[in-house]
Amino acid sequence: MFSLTEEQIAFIENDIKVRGITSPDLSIDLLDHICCVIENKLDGYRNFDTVYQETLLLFGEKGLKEIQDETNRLLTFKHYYSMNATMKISGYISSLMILSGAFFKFNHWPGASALLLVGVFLLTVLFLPLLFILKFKESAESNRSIALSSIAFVSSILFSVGIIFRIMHWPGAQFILIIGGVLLLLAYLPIYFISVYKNTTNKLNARATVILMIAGVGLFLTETGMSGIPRPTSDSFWRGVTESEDLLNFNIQENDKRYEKVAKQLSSDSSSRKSESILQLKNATDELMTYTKKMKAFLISKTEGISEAEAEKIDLDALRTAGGGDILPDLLFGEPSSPYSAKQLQNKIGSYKQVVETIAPSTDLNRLNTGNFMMYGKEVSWEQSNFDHLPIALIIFNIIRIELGISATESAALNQI
Amino acid sequence: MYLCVMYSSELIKGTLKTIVLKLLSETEKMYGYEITQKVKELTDSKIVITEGALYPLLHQLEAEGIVTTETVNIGKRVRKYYTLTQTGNERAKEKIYEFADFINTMTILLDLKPNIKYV
Repeated sequence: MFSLTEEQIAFIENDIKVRGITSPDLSIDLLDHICCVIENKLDGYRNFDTVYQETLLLFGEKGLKEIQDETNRLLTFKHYYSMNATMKISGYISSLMILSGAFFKFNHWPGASALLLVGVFLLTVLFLPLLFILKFKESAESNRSIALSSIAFVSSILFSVGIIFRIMHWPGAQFILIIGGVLLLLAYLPIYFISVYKNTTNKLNARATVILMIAGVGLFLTETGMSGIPRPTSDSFWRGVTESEDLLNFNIQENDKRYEKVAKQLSSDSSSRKSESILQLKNATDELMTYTKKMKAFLISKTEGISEAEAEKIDLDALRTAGGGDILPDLLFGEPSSPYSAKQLQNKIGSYKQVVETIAPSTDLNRLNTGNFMMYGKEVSWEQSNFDHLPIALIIFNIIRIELGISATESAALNQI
Repeated sequence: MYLCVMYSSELIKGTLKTIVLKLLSETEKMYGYEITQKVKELTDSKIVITEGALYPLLHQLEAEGIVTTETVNIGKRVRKYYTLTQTGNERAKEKIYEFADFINTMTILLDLKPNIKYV
């Protein structure tokens, strides 16, 4: 038996690489195998190159590369089961968490956001990628189905990331969700229609899927696009908010001027009882107004994720697209540690009214009514109608309205003294 | 899948694993070329395992923990020996038993007058 020279072995080793074998493990096997075959064939008369070419024929038409492909196929098939199992389990867990999170949220129980967040997170990082990989492997032959599953993958990732953003009130949620929806409508559906509808015998099924998807995505986009305040109303509504704020500042200034004027009159009159009442009114008003001002800053800082000092200076226009409908009920109703709540504000307004009543008994206090009232045929509490499940923009607007009521009552009381 | 001189490929499809496991269970360690030669020799060249089927299978068995490998330097090149693990030994027994049972069933089913020479 002949032995191959080092050069010949190096030549074969290199040739295996050139023929597309990238796995070092497999190339060790193949090199030894080919060398063994050649060494058994060489007999001193035949030339190495001829024998080598002859040996390569053993590996079939597609050659060495086919062995590597087959190896990879077998190895991934081995992972198939564990991937499939992980996908199933993560799918079950995440859908369970999302469902219970939604149920918790509906009931205002604590932990809702955490459940939803972890559920969507599992869905995004485990379930969807695995689903995509397995789908991708199954449909490895057709370009169209690869395109289909890639688009479905990207848009479902966008959807779930958009929903995380929405839950966490991070900016850009709406944008991400809309991109996801548009991708489904404009890219997925046409390809689906071309590849599936044309090739299936069950046209009814394919048609139904397409129609249901258009309807579903359409409704979703409508809902997402309109969440918050619809645009045409939003513009004039927002003018109302900023003008109310302007009106409030105007009232406060006017009331201050009146205090100065009355103070001048009183110093000449020197009626100590009157000046004491006026000082009391001013202190009570200032205290209540400080509370509402801080409450606004606190709520804005929580929903926008900025400091209270920044929130105090914020241009109300920046709140136009802010949501905040989910954390605010917790802050205003649920959390006992929250320094500002609807109930506290109601109590403060109540004691303010008592102060005004003792100083100027005939003052009209209807601007500061905090009792229940009828709304669309239903009795609603004052706290609920002003603060429950409203976007931050509306809650701030309602506090400004209450402040307007305070300044109007203050001015009325000043007239009475 | 394999180049087979005597039998149609669909007939022996699925027996490759059994053959390889059986050979490995009888010998402490074997390398790829050795396995192909051994099969050729034992079957009088009636069954010839191709490289294209053998190496993917060996790598799959290694990934499943049925065989382990050790490498030995042979001059300028490296030879990889395959050995059955504990699990591999059990799997070999199962596979051989399963195949023997299958042959019995087929003998009855096809009403063959057995001419099988048991080794």
